[in-house]
Amino acid sequence: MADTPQHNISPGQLTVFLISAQLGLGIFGLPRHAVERLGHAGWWLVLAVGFLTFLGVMIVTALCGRFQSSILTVHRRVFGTFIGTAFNLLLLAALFGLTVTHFALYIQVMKVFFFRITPFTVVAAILIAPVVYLAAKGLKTAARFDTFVYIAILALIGMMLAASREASWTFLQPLLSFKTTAFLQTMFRLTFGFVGFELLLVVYPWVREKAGRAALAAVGITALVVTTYTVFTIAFFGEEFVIKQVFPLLNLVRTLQAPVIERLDIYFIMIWLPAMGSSAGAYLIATQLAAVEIFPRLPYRILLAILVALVFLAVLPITRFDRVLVLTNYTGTAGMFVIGILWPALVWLAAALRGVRG
Amino acid sequence: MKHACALMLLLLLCMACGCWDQRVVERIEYIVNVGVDARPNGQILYSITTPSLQAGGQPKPRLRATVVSTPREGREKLFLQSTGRLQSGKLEQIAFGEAMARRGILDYLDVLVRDPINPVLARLVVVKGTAFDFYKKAVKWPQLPLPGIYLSRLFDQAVENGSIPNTNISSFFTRYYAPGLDPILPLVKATKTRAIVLGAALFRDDKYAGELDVDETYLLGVLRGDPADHLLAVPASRLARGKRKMVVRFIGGRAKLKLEVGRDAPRASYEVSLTGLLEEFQMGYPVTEKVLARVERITAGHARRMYEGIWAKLRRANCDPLGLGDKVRARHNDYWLKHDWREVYPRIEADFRVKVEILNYGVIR
Repeated sequence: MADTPQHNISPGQLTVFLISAQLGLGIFGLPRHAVERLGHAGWWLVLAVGFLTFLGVMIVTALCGRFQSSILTVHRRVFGTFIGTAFNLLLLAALFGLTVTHFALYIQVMKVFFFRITPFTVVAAILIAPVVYLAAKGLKTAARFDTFVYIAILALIGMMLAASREASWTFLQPLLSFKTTAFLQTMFRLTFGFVGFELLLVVYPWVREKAGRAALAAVGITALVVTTYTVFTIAFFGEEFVIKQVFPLLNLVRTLQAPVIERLDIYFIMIWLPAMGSSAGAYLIATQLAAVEIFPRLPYRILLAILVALVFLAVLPITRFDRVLVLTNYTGTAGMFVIGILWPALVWLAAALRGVRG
Repeated sequence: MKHACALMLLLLLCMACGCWDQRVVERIEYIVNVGVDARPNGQILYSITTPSLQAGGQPKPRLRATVVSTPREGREKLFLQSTGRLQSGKLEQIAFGEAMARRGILDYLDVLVRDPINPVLARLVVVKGTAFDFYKKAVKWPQLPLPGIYLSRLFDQAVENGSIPNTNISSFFTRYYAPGLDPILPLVKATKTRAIVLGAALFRDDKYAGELDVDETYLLGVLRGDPADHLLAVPASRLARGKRKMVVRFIGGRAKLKLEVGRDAPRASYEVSLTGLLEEFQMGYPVTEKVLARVERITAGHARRMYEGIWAKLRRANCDPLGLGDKVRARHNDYWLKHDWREVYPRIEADFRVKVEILNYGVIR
């Protein structure tokens, strides 16, 4: 059936899917969090958290590769049907929370920049609708659409090159002046900029081959892009001014000017918009795939309709911008450290101790 | 499923047709210039110019002003007199009167950075006298385009020849917040017929604290690494009798800084290399190799003396537009952490070694 959702993806599509999930929305507030306590040396922390995502991907690949299935199947095999399903429901709840946070941030970015008077419900509906369409078509279509993120990355690189003359590299010096305690405390605030790789836990069985390598490539590209971007932002604005900005990326694009069309910010956001949608969409699809695995008897699109309705209802009360930022801190930490690193490591350990294999 | 999608799209169209954030051009008055002047008790005189269409289609600038506490309050108060919603999306210049600039300007820029619709690339300028008087003259300038357009072209040209610094709202904020770095802004005055650029207004934090003329601004720009093309009239009484001058067009320049940080105040040594063309030479004898060498030496000596004057002004204003503090913070962080830069800066000694190279002198000797 031509209209049946397609989920099988190639390694290249997995790479772009994970980059979209991580980069589209996570990049917005990242430099501010990085310099809040660490000052101009904050970019080291971005690099360090980037390395942690490599660790996460390796653990996830080891776990899912051992069973050649998603973590939802692994849960049932390792812990039995009853406890396994309970863990699956917890995972579904966590993914749902991350989906809601991503959509809430997506809506807020658009509200702050473009639709300040338009009612929240209308903005939410308009932004969620295309993502739902992609989710209805399946992981394959979504991953194909995610290719837009490469154009967004190119636009970001172009913007940095265009503005590089204004950057002051002394703002990054002294290079190694930071407190280790601040380093550890701030780490959790950066997690939202890197979450997304943990979706591999759910989409793993749909990747045709070499999922591990593709995921490592994805986190590598993301770490490189966000570290470069953070370095540039500090050099451009200076640490003191970066701290005062909600979304340094949006302020950076406001400083661009071109002949005739003058302001470039609108055009840049137009290019970045699909990347933002892809980021929220990646979570919606992953949550949907998890729900399908937990409730196999429910038809795919009925389940999607229920999920979208729940996401919509959960997003609606989060109209205050500062609450979204608080939410990103909690869900980011949970997404990266708990779902992405700690839990897969524990499950792998449990599987190894019990000698369970796929 | 297709029907469901179509229904969904239809529903969305119905919901989106309200267009709450739409801006109908015919119902907007674009603010092109903003002026801020000091008034007693923390109040400001907020003035704006907008282009308004006259009968026959000729646009004419319109000036309005009101006394308020904040710029946004001022805009809303002036909106009560307007035929359209006042928007700052096409803002070109924000002028601060001298007294206002001395009081501090940062608070009045908040709205321009906070609201993403506002352009952060609008130019900030300090005007001699008050901004309101400046615009009062500006809207009456005969035979010139609208003040916003005229001033934009004037400032662009002045930046190209290094007569004023190239600054905007964003760069002002960056320099203001960066430790060991101070902002500078263009300084300008209005006459009955046009505007005249005067050079740079020096800022200590966000307060106007001194000024440099156009030649000094150019030479400061060389130290800052801002390329420009600038004409300098150099006294040439040593080359011929009388108070003669020759004109050198500088087409390139670079500076190398050596910063010595000891126990006391740091010491700065600049090696400046300027390349130029001899544009005017009315000494009554031909330019020979020997004469050219003397011209270079005299020009270099003149530039060095000017640099010493600039340095004295910067120290007096306690303004650090060269970012020496930033360099000390970056390379001698221990010293930076132990000292108050505002206290150290006026004690810094600087010496300048200037080398001038004249590339050619036109088609006559």
